Amino acid sequence: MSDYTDMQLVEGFRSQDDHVIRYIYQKIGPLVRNLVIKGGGSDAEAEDIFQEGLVAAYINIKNGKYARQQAKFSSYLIQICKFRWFDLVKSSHRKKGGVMLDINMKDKDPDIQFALEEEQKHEVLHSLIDTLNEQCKEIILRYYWEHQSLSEISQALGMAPASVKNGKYRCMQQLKKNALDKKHLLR
Amino acid sequence: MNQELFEKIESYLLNRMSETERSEFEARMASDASLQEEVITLQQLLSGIDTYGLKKKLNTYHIPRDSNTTNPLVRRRSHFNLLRVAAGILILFSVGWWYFANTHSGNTADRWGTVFYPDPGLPTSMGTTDHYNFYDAMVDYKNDNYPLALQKFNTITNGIGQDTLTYYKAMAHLQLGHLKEAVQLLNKISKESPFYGAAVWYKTGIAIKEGRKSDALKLLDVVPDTREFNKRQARELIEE
Repeated sequence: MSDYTDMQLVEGFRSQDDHVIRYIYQKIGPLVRNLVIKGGGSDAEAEDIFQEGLVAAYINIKNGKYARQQAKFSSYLIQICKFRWFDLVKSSHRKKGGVMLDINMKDKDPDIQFALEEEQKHEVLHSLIDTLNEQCKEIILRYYWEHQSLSEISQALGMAPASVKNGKYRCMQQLKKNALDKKHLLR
Repeated sequence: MNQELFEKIESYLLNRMSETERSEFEARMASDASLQEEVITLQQLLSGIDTYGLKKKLNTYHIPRDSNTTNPLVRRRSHFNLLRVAAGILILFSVGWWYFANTHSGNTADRWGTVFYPDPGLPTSMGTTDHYNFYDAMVDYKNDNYPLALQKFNTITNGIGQDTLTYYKAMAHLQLGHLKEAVQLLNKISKESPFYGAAVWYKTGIAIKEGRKSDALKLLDVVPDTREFNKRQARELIEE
């Protein structure tokens, strides 16, 4: 497996490149796993923490906050996961006899705090996307995430291009309505 | 929101507008709080969809227990322009300025500030790297940190409408009292630009400040008759 420079790693992750994601899972994943296991967590929790940490890091890469700090990507991601784990332990009030993380909360970078809070809001949005019907999900994911054209989508789904376009509008209005209902969780 | 407006906002957020369309849209946004709100909301939804897709992808990977390699099931690339929003504080600022403007109407200098109150800036959406630099500078602008905002505006070369950039550079200079620099920049904004009306308005203000009465009157004639610009009060200022 080839090694990546820090910049390649960040840029590859920004574009959700599969090779880069696999590399991150293999190189950084085990370090986060150790951290969670040592802290009394389970494998499943380690997977969750790592995934949430990745999404939070992605958010800060996209919004430019990542670029204004100095840490290497791996350290940054581990740091995010540590704080996420710490928050989880704190919120669940559990005493598992694990080693308490050597975290000084004063070190919690406001940008990391921001990313973690945003990640939680994104989870709310994701649950709202999940409530859309299958066709809506297909259309909006293909259009906004996979960047397929209206005609590609119409072919794939066997719909007229105009129906895809109108459907996209209707689905987004539905999603917006759902989001406005949950406004308190998204602000 | 009707479909046409939705698609317009969408094309703004997905960076599909021409330079001219973009400037026009940004100018419209600058004076329409409800449009800003819609842009911010759609931006949030689009970034949520982007991370939804990312998570779907991440679900196909697992942290290896040993040296086994994980098996990616999908190969997709996403270059989605995630636009994020940091602040809906614009309204607060506008109200703040309005309040400030309306409670400080004593002498002529204060009156000037009331009539030509500072442009409140654009909503600070933190988005693609292209946009990010501009909106990062805009945050400083809105926090009245004009020197830093200017410094940042000056490093931006793309990602934002040229007129938008020129106009806000001029606004920052104006707030710093650099009247000459502000005029030079405002002069670069052509008649076709959606920022033209506002540019002439502030040039009028500068002419008044510099005591160039006849210039001010000529400029004022060119200012569009919209509620945005209080031409009557400006005329009173000139005549004083």
